[in-house]
Amino acid sequence: MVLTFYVNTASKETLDKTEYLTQVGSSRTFNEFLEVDIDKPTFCAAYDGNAQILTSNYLHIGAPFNKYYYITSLSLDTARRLNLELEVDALMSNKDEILNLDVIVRRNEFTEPNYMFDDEFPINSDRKDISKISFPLSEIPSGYYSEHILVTM
Amino acid sequence: MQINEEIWGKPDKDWQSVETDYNAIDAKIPASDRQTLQLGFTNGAFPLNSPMDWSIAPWGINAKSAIIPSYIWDWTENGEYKCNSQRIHRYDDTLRVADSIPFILCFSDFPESEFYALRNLSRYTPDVTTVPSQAPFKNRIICDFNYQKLFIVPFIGASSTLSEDERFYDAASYFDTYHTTKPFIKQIAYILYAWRESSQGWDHNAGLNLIKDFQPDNLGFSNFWFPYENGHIVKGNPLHGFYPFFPYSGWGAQYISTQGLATSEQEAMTRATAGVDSGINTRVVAEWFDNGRTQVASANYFYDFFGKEVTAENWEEVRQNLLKEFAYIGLPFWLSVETAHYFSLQSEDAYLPKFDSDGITTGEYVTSITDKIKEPNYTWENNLHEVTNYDPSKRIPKNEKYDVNDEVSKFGIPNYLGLRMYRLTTTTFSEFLTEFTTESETTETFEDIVKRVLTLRSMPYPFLSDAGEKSERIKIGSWEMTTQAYRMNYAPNSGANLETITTRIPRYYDDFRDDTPYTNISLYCPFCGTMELDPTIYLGHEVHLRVAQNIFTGEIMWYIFVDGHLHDTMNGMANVDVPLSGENWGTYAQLQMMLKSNRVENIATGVNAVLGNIAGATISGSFGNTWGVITQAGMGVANLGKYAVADHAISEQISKSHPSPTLIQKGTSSLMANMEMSPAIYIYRTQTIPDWNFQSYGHTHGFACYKSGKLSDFKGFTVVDKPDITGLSCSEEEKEIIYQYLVTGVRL
Repeated sequence: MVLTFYVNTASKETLDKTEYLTQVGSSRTFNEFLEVDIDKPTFCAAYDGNAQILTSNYLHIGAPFNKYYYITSLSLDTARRLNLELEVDALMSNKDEILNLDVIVRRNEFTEPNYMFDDEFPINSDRKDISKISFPLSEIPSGYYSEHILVTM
Repeated sequence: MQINEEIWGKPDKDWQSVETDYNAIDAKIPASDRQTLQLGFTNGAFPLNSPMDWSIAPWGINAKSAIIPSYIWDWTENGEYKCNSQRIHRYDDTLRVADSIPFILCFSDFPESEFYALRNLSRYTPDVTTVPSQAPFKNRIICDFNYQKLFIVPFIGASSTLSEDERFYDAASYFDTYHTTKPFIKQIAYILYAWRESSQGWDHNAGLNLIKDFQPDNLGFSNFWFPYENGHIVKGNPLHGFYPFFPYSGWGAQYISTQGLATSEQEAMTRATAGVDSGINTRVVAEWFDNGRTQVASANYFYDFFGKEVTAENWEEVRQNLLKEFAYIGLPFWLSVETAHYFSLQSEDAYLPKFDSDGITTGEYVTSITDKIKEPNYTWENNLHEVTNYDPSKRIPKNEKYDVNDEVSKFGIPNYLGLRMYRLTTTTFSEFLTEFTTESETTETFEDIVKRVLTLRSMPYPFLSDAGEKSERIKIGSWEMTTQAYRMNYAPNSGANLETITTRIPRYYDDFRDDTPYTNISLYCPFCGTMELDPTIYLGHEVHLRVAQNIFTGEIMWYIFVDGHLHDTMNGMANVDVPLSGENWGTYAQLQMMLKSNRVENIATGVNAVLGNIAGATISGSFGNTWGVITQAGMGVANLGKYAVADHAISEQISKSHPSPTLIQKGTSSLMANMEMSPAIYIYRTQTIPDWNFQSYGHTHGFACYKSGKLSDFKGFTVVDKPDITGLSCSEEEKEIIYQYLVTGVRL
């Protein structure tokens, strides 16, 4: 299987890491017919002397896997083989399907605060500003003091 | 650059560059095209002194954007527009403009001091019809054209082929006939008409007077042009800017050319635009805008119907969209210029746009009279000089024709009991007491006289004068005093009905923090106390109060109106009874007869002292009772002990009918200590965290959203509520990973 090595600068929660990947080299697996865990595979791959590959932290495995993996361990042995321990990047590997999901978004970065109640929003609750709006009567004549009512029989 | 893509679409997809090469998003704008960036606002379309956030909302302005008056721009050699930072109008809650100004919109991150607005960041806005109705800040088209008695007739500029020059037809003609032969809509133009003022037939001068009444110059029609100057229409553009998304061609006034039209069409157009034909009763005020370009680039359109061929299949949809566009403007409209001079809102041919609760047009309209009279703008448009409770400039349309007096019906107690009711001013009150206590001994027995005095009471607020009241000598039983007072035939509203000023309770954050528990508001009403109000009902709305006093019981009631509707009431006791009536006074008089002559003046003085004090009612509590105040204030400390026993006996009875106001202390005591005779609303608002960075918070936490759609519809940090990942074609382990990321947050 074809391995494409990258330097990934994206955080793990980034769904589409395409913009954050810098390809540094490629190789092929030696033991592609061995039994491997597709989610956490271990591979041996040919090393062609490209030093940049040793700086990679991310790779793509071509068909039949067609998945992206984090490199959890990369070592070079005397036989110029790369020993790779990998962990699948489930987000990037399935990004198209994930993006196509019908979802209800609970929080979003670019949704400005609106009237949707947000109980996670940090509030400085120990103090409150107090403002006052007065409603003076508009019809009281100036100089008015008081008025009196007298009811007699 | 930060834009709200939800509103404005994606720049690489929906936006049009101002350059004619509309595929080049960041194409440079030639200097000669500068004016094409102008989005209007030359003629008062921008509401004077209105909060900026209302009016610029359709532009999607946010804290990282600015609107820039075009006249302060300098064209620099390095190809940038440089702005004078002192004159940049930034978006905030309090920003207002003092004048109507042309401006362009610029999206840009900029430092506090100054910024350079790159030409290629200044764009036309995309199709406004894509603006979601529930977009943040309610970004919708706003119309606040607040002149009465105006309506529009829309004209469609259309051609038989895309390359052919358009010709104009009024909407009715286009709807009926020309949409089949001229299927390419290129422009919409509107003709603004003023209703004629009288029924004397069309009269040139009457029309002029009508316009003068509007005092357009004072209201921002700075470039208001008389419509037919030098024989042709001069474009007034008074409403330019209501459609900010209309690219405004900057080559000055444009007018509908009749050249090239067939004679019949030309005649129709002449009449339509100039109104010079005597057969047209309505008169053109101005052709007030079109969508901008006489020479429209073939694909540079902003609406679905612009530049697209009208077919039998899509015609109904296009027609509905056109009507929607007309309705967005907010003025009543009439499709046919031929019959427009019969304009009457009662006619079903007249379209009345609908507004939402914020006074923003919705694109909907009504035509039947039964529906129209339910609309707030109906009364407004149908009455030229009458004051209506709807004023578009205030953006508070009422949902129905409404008279606030209906809610608090007036009732009075007719004088069928043979009672005499007198209204005494401070002076006559003193005169009355003097005469009463000195002269009564010589007429009937004092006990008989005082039994006929049913009420002598002071109230804090003036009474409304009774239309039938007249000044006459006070009569008690058969004794006619020399003191004169106003005799009331009945007790109007049982007392006073006084209005306070009307004030809009401002929103502050304009988000959920303007509600409990982050914001609390309470209302203090004199003599009644304080009560909590629901912020969602009061914030952002106009509030006024009315007070009514019951002169028989001493009760006082405050009616609290929100946008003219009665929402809450508070009641309490506000009277100060003068112990002159019935057995109380009789008993007291027998015991203290020898004192009364020098005392009554003190009473009168004392009552006034209490009532003149804004804290009258509560001070009485501190003295034990009202009578205590009166006696102390009037007699002085030296005499108090001498009559203490008798005073106390009477004051107990007074206290029973005069409970102290119930006060709910809220906030700090210092605020409530200064009690007033005027109601007040106190707003307790949670403070924001100092130096709070919204952007950073949103980047790491997001804001409450609860919108549904494809995940691809969202950008940035996003947390999904219980996603259903059933259909994903991956392993269970991967599904678990994906699920965990979605519910804790992914970056898109």
